[in-house]
Amino acid sequence: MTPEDSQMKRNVRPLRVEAGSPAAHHEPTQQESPELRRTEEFRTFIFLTVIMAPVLAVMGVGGYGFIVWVYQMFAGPPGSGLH
Amino acid sequence: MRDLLRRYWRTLWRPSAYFSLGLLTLGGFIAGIVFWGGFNTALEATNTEKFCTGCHEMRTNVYEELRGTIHFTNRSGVRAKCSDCHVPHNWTDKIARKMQASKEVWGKIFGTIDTREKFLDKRLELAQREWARFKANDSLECRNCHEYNYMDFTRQSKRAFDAHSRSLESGEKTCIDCHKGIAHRLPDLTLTQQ
Repeated sequence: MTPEDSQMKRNVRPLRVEAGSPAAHHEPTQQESPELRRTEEFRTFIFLTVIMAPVLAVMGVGGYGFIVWVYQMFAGPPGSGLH
Repeated sequence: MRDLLRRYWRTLWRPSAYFSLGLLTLGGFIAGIVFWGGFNTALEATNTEKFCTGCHEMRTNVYEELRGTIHFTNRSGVRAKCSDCHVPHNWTDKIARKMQASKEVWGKIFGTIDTREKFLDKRLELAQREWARFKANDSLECRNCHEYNYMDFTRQSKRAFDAHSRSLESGEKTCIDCHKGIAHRLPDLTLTQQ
């Protein structure tokens, strides 16, 4: 957080958030209206659950498959290790 | 643009002010279920015959040959499809095999076996790779259907009975040692003697 940011936070009153509510720690600043923040949080949530987590999961499983493939190049096809 | 990224980066790491923990947790959980279901469905789709024979390399070579064999058509109507024999059923080995298929995509793009002649030239190498695989896992994919313990030797021919009771039971031989070229035609084996 830059000094300007904290300066801004002190000067600006929260718009809709009441003191003591969980959101009070994150008072909206001038650039950030509650509507904008709500939209941003919603978009972030959708992005994480619909795009990023699935992509990471597929990359993880695919990467694991490639590692096993490389391992099998040296150790032989599946089952070789058991004999 | 940088400002936009910075705002979303901040949103990413601070607690939500407008969405409850319940909604976020349940939403993530449900998305996880949907993803896992979709992932498995997609994985299964790549195991279907329709998918395998989608390429003419498979359809006009190995699939066409399979159609005449007992593994395709027989009196009881039980049959083997491509993945029953050629894709490991165990999860880790299956995923590794699916990644190996990226090399097949490469081959498809660059036409490695796009004619019958190229396929026949390459067939010995392809077959030997599968034979080595069956040998290493003790013909696991055969044994998924054909179980030694349930074979009724009285209903086998003398020759089969002798071979099975002598070599298969002791583990000295595995299915593929004798049963090569049963689902597809054999490669030109004279090439192995050169």
